[in-house]
Amino acid sequence: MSKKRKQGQLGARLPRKASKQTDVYEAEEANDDESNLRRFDAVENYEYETPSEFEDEEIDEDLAFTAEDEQQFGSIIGGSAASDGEEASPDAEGGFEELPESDDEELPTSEAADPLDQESREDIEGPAAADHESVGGRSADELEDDEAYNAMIQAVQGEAAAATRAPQQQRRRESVATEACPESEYNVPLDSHADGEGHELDIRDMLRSLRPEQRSRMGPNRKRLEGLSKKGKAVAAPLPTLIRQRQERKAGYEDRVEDIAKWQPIIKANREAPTLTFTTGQERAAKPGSVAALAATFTPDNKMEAEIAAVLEKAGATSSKQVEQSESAAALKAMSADEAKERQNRLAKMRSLLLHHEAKARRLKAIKSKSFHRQANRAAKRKAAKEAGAEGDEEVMRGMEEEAEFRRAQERLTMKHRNSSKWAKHALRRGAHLLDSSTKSAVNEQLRLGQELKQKAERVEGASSSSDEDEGLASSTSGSDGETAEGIRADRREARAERRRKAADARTRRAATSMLDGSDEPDGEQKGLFSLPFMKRAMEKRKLEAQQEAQEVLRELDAEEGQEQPPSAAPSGRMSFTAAASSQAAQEVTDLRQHLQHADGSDAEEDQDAKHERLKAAAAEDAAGASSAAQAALPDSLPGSANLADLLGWDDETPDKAHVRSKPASGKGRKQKSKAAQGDSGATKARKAQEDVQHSSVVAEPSRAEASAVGCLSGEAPAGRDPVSMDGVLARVAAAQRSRLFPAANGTSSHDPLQQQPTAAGSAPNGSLDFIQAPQFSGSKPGYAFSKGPQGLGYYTESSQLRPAQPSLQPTTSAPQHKDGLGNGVAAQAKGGKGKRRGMANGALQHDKGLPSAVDEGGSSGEEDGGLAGAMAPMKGAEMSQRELVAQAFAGDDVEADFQQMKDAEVAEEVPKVEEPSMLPGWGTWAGQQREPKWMRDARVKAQKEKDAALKARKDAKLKAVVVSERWDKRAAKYGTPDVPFPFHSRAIYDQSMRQPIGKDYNPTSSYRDMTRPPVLKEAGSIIQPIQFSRSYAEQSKERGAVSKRRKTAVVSGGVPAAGRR
Amino acid sequence: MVMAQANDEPVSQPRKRQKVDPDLTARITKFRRGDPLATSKIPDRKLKGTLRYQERLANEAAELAAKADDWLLPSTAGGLEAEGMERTWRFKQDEVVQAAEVGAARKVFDLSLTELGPYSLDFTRSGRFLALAGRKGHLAVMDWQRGKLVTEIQVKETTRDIQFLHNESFFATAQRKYAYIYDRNGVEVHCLRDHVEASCLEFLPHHFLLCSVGRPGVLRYQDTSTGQTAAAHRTRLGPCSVMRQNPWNAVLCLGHANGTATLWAPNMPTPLVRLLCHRGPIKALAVDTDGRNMVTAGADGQVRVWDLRMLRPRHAYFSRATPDRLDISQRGLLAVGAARSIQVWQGALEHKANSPYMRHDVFSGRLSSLAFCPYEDVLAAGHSDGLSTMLVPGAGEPNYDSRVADPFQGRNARREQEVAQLLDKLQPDMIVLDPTTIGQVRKEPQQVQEEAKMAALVAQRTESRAALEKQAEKKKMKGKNKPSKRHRKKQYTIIEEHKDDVRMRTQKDQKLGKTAAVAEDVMPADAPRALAAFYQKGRQ
Repeated sequence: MSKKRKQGQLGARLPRKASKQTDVYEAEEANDDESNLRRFDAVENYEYETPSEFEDEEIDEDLAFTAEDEQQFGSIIGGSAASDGEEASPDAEGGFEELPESDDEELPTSEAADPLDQESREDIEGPAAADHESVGGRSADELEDDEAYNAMIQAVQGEAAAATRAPQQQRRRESVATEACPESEYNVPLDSHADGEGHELDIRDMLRSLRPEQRSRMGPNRKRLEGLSKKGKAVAAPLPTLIRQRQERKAGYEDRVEDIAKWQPIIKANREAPTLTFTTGQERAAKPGSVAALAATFTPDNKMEAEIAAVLEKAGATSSKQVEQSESAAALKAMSADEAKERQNRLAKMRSLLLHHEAKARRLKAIKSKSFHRQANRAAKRKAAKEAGAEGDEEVMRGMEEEAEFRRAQERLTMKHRNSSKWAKHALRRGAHLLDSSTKSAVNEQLRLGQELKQKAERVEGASSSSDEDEGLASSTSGSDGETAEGIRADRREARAERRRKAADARTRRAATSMLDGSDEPDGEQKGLFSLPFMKRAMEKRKLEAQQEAQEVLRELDAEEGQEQPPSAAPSGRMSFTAAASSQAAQEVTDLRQHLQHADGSDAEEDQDAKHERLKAAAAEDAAGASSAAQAALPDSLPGSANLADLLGWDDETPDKAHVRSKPASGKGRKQKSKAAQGDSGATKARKAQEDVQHSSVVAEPSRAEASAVGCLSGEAPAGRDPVSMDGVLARVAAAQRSRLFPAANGTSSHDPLQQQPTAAGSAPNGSLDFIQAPQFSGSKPGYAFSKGPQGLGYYTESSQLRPAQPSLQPTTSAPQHKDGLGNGVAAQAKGGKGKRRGMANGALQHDKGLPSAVDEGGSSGEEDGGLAGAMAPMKGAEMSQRELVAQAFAGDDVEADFQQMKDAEVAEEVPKVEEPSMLPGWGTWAGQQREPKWMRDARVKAQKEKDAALKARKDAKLKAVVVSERWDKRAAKYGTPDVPFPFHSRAIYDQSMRQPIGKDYNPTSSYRDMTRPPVLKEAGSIIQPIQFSRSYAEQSKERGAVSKRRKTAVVSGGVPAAGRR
Repeated sequence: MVMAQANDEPVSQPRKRQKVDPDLTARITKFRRGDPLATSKIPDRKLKGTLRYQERLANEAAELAAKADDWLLPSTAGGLEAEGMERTWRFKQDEVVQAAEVGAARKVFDLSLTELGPYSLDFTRSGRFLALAGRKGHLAVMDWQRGKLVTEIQVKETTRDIQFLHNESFFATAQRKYAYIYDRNGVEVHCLRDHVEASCLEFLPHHFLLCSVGRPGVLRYQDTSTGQTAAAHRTRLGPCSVMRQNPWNAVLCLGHANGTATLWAPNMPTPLVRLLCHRGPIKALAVDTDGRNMVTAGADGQVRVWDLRMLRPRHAYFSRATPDRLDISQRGLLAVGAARSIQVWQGALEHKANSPYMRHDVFSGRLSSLAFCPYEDVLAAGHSDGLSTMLVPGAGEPNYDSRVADPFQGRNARREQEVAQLLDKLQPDMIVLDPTTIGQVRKEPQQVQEEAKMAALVAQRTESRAALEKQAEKKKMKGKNKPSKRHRKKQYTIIEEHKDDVRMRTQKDQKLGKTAAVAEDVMPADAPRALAAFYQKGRQ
């Protein structure tokens, strides 16, 4: 202890030899460096404390500092005898305390003197050197390099000083081990860590600095040292603490980041989970399945259990199966042979029964309910409809084609339908009885396939032959060109009609011949309902009839071909008729009459059906162009037949075709059968009907009459329903109808003054469309249809009004009404038919200008309007007169003006008030000022503008008959929000996010539960533990990024998130 | 004639449906509510995630509903189909009845009650009970399909209208002077003396509001759950005898003598909308279940159809006999009554139809009311000689939701539903023209915003003034708690009335001053360095 102290105390003044060895990096050390000390003051003897003969020697501890010494140096040391180890600094460094003290005193002054230089020096030499120099109070330009140093000294102090210094330095250098630079922690070679080579101080460097004699003095030690240097490097100097700690922190941080990053997916998943469920985790513990499972795993533990097990084993009762076996064996043993056999039989029977039941159950299961089939059918229908809708889609079609092509190719390759494969041949050779069911079905399938394909091929052949024929016809007519446009058009029409007729004739002929030779009959036995005997008989009968008819048709066709005439001939005037035809026609008429008489009788229904059937047949034949006997009843040339067909709703042909059919000019030599024969009956009937009409006081609207005519024909006139006298109407209608059917009769026999047949014929001789060229489109005209037809842009007389007037039966009361229509004969005729355009004609009377104009008057002209006198109907032109009446009735109170006034008042009240400047005499103006000042004018204009804008922004600005209140509903305001709430930025998104109701009534139950589940669910009694790491969960949640895959609840039990559950 | 039978048999579900319906997506769109939300542009990622999840749930809900649709809505509506040249309107009732199944045929009957005057009627929401009110005071409630009379009373007073409340246990009548409420036993429960000379009644089932309008022309809303009057509006349009509710938004539609129809809500003392419908008085009015169409019949002989969402007229029909009774069935069939004949029109609302679907004349008397029975293909007509019903195939909704209205409800179910209805009751405030705006952003008009601001300011001023007055009384003291110090302390916490202004001013000043200061503080290049200290550091 005392030695240490002595060392310390002495160390302060002694050259550092021992201390240098102990502490290389001591910062203060540099201060006491001899070389530095010496150069400060050359005169002073620095070694005054260390005489030249002084030799450091090992001093015994006990002798190091005796009492004698203490007496001698006590005052110097300051630490008296009283001072003990506690006060003294414990280690060697304690001894250097004095020097820093002096530094403290002196540093400020030196720094104050030259603060800037101080800094730079420190940079170069370190603080120690700086301190040192400042102690000396000399210039600090000194560098460690000798030459530089000397040069500088010389420059500063002169040659002499340098001369005195040089030997001293040399001497010192000899005695002290030199170093490249002063030792300090700031002088650690920087790149020693980097590559080390050449910069690091090693033993060789140290040895090199020895003089030869010193080296030789070292002797064998030198070799050893050199060997040492070769063997291994010196341990690298440890890094400075700061850097080391920084590196440690960095490493630690990275480690932690890695550690924490593994939690991220879990935390993220938990945050994103709509609901977190905390459970106890008990449900995850494995539960025993059943008693049997428990028993299976049982192993005897103790002695008793082992004993019991042994006994059971011995008795053969360890398992239920064993018990069963032994029991049955015992039972068999107890039985006689017969009994045993009987039992076995019984069991076999039971087994077979069971099997049967099973099969039955399976079959029953396969049978689906009615509702299932309904569902299936519906689905199929939907699918078919969808496919039909997608038919236009090219891609789909192509895909289907490709698929079909592929299947065809496959079929060709396999030739499955031929049963020609090796396997099939083999199977067939073996015989059907040997085949098992599946093979049989496979073979059958192949056979079926072949059959189907064969059928298909036949069908395709037939179809192609018929289409060829059509094409030939088409091509034959499509070649005519090179005449004037008009001529071409006419020709084309002719040709078209001709072609159509020919085609129809050909078809008829074909049908007739096939009917005659019976080839049109379906092959093979009839099935189902048709196989019943009475059905057979009926069919036989029908067939006979049909054949008769066909014969007639053929005969007629032949005759027609014989007397083929040019189409321009054949006037409609006189017609020839045969006795048979006329008798049939007469029959027809009586039928009709009967029918009309029984118009409202329900017992006429059957007759009506039959009639319907007959008429339909006639019409069909007519369309086919065959002039059969039945045609006599409804001759084509007669005007009104088309109308009848229209009314009856059979005519599905285009108007063009109908028109062609009714054109007498294109009669093609068909027999035109006049109705002269029935003239008497028809005429009397007509006259009678007319009388009825004249008796009836009510003016019947023709449109209505027409509609009720429909009713008459179908046998269900709404007679008796209407309080307005329906009888008259009915009779009139019947008459009108008849007059349409038999105008010839009317024309010849009735003496009606209103007969207009000739004029009708004059205006439209052949019933074709009248064309009026329109210079420009000027809207629809009453009685005309605007059209872009073959003759260019213009009007046609409306096709729906093409029916010639019913001259004889037009009620007298309605006659004057026609006159106020258009003067045009054509128009008058058209109106005569319907009379419903009247309202449109006098548009001046239209009173609906104020009320909303969505009402399309007369826009839809259906064939029927309810047919009910007093009831509601769609608004048409015909009602205009009635509406006029109504308008007149309410003319006194101008409802619209009142409403407009009220609207203005209400709107003015609601529009925000804008302050307008007003002229107050003496305010804002000079007395006597005549004009309004500009600012006032501007303000007024601005106010007006604002007001106009506000008016225009109203919802009802464009709705004339509507006032929508825009008052702010304060009480309902609380059910909305004035601004978009927090996390939302856009109003649209907010509003749209609120569109889905979350109530039970609007959602399926499961969705409702998902929508309303709270964010945290906690099972009772579950402790919420801090979350634990689960690798599987982390991995799973890392994968599951998208919302679509995210689960609705995250289950956490005992701090561990459950991975597998959803 | 073909009767397409309504199909009511339950469907047995197959055990497994492996195959997804090919056109499931098409059916899903039926259950979608509006367009899907475009979440991709939302900047807030958390919100985006939440909304995406919501969207997913909505999609799932639609899909589930579409899948269940086939099985939960098994019945399809019936209808009349005409073959060939037949027309459906020519079918007579007895033919229809003959062709109909036995159960349906039983629903057609005539009650001949010739003495007690024209009858008005009302069905419960489930369609099971029927209330009858004869003009001369004959009131009856019957379980009409079973032919059971529940109650029958004679009030010996003119009775103009009858209306069921939330279920069959109460009904209200509009009598000579007041309106009354009776229970199912015919006991008078309330006399509503506010409802003076009411001529028609309506009940808003979701809001529990009984509404009446009559000779004084005052529209009254009375809450039947609390008994309070929710609102009373003077129409200023004279006596009114035509009123119907719009079931979609619970707005009341009134028809007036000057040819206008007005739409009302309890919140607003003026009508929400006024429509000029007819030149003459409005005789009848009806609104369809979706609230899309309104039909009005005027004395001018017209029947007009209005688009209630766009507030535009669609089209009009004309009738020679003035139609004075209208009703629209659940599936959009329109019944028009004039004198003693009834016409039923199909598809006549959206488009203009050419001919009626059915027609029928009551056996005698003059029509006084028309009502389609909910969930049944039956139209009931009250007239001066009693009551008639007719079959109208395809009129009623074939599938009922027992949560909404259950025709087979028992006593317990009725009780539970009553409670549920009360819990789900909506406030009268919520009746607005467009109910989809509830819960959405409603931009206040500027005027309203300013008013609100002013009101807030005034409130603040009065508060601060009160605070000042309160602290005006002083106590003379020394030391820490002396009045001046206390005052200062209080001042510190009080929100002064001008504080806002001051703050705004200072903010403005700062804004202005900052730029000015910056301009000043920049040290000019030629300024001597010695003056650098006068320019603030860091402001260069």
